[in-house]
Amino acid sequence: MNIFAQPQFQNFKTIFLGIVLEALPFLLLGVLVAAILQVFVSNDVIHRIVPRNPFLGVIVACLLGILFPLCECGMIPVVRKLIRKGMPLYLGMVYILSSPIINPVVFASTYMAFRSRPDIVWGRFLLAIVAAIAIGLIVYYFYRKNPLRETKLDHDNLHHHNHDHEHGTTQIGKRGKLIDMLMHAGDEFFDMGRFLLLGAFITAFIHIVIPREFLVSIGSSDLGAHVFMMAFAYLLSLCSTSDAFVAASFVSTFSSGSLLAFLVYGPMLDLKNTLMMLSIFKLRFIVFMSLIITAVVFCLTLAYSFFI
Amino acid sequence: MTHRQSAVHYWVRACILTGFSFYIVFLIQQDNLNYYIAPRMEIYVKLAALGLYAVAAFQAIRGWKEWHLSASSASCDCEHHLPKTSMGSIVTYGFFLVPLLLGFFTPDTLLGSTYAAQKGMNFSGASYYQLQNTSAANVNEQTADQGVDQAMNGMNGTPNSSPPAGNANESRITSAESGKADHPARAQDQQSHETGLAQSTAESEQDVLSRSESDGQKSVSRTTADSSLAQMFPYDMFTEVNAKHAMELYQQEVIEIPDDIFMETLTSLDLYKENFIGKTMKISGFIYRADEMNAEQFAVGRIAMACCAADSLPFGVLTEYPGAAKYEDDTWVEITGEMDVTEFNGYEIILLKAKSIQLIEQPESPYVYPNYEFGL
Repeated sequence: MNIFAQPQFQNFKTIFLGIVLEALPFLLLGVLVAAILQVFVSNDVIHRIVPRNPFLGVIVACLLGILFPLCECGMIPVVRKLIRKGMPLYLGMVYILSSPIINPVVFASTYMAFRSRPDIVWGRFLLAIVAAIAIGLIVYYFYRKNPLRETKLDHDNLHHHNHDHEHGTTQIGKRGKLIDMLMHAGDEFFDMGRFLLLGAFITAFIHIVIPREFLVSIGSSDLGAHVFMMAFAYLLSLCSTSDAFVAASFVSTFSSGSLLAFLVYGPMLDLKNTLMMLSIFKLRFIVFMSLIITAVVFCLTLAYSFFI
Repeated sequence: MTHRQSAVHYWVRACILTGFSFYIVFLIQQDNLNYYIAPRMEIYVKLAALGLYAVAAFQAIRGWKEWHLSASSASCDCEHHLPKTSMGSIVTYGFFLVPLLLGFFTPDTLLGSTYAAQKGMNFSGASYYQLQNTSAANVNEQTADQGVDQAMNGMNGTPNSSPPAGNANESRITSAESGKADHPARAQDQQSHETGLAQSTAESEQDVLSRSESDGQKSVSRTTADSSLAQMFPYDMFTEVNAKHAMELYQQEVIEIPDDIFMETLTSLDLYKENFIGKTMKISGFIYRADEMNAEQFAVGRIAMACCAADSLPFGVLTEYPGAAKYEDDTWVEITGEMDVTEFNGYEIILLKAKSIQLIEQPESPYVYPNYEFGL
């Protein structure tokens, strides 16, 4: 009778809210980490600890995820803050790309889903490292323009701002800083949240309207399988902690290479995080990154199925 | 923007954040959080409710302070990303209202047959092990004598070919098994693992003896049964866990599919489905159908969820029953029947020939979850 009683609508609601509820804690965590960085870590510190050598830098950034595992939703506010505070762009990108895959939680869940196929588990991590490093270096050598969206917040990296107007005093103690932090967390939450919600909305819609069997039928050839699995990963926008579980249900129909394409590409680039990246980067940079990521992952996983 | 306008923004934000926080509490109260999120993620969502509430409180205080600022005081140069136009505000905050409205005012529903039909059927746990299974058989043929060793060692022994990781896995599984048996047997199990690679056949036979004694069965018949069993369930280091599980299942009179290792059990059965032809299986779940099924068929299964609803997939068994048509989709049933193998969409899968179908209540925990302790 009414649309709310339709099973398709109900499934949409369940998936949409599932994604939102799942993302909230991690978005909040990312927002808090970003606020802590904003208030407690000065730009000088960032400048001092960033390696000068780009090769060393990309490797460090790549392994940062092992120490500070964050998933896609939490990652973007943090990286935005780091880049605004003077972290070089290419290192920020390497961290964004590698951390959702190269972290212990994701390793464990991938291992569980593919316990009979350790080649996929290790392949995923090695390919992710190689891809992240390659993409980072490409950004380092080929992208010299300012990728950040011009926003009112750009003055952030020009001066340390303390909320004089609110506290009516210039001496801001520890308590003031904490309050400051929570204020920022609120701003960030709304800034990122709207992109996340839009992403979740579209993603849930895709989950409901596209029958999987139809998609599976597209990817019959090996090349087609690669293309399909990457497109699938992009559209589904799964969390990197649970995508292996979904990928495992494809093992009978798809080659290892195309499964790896799914497992490496999805966390690096998908619909949800493309939308979230819009809150940091200019559109042309996002297009540039999307092309590079797609090309690198495609070539790497294709090479994998060719040689291994 | 005036201070008062900013203040309103902050209050709207505080309301939205509080709304999300309350929504989570609401779901917990309704006991419906598990419709959306797997239990292992629930703690994070609960923490998020607290965090959202804290952030909301600060937004409210900030609004209050802003409201009471005199109009003459200089506006902060750091704009806080407030939408500039009223249209912008409506769109931005509208985004946040959509999930809240949906959440509070539309009923929570389980993913069911419609979803299962659309996501595609995953019969028999994971058919993906099929490929692996054939390669497992190859490995076993190549190392025929090792296979015999394994057969002699039965379920307790440590196969010589296993790498250290395999050993660790196995020793845990064995101790878990022997938890059901007497303690002396367990101690011996442990000992035999400590002796590791040097373990002799005699010792392992004794192992089997002590186990079968504790099971209260004749030792000789048990030993031969064990060795023929092991031959029926060839495995490599990757399918070892499932092989051992399947051997356990094989010895059960009625093979039940428990909730806590639902997918894992279906996988073990699927891997060695030929061995199980004629065995009795008991499974509970909801009914769903695909276009390819005939009038006497439906699938009975569960929705499995890893983290949240977005990654959930249906897992089940194809069931055949002469009166299948009178059972509607999404009916919760417990089915007992005889296991068989059939071809479906080009894949060999388990077929359950239902003997009895009982209507049951929807279980308290309707979804199933991957068991991360299985085989560890």
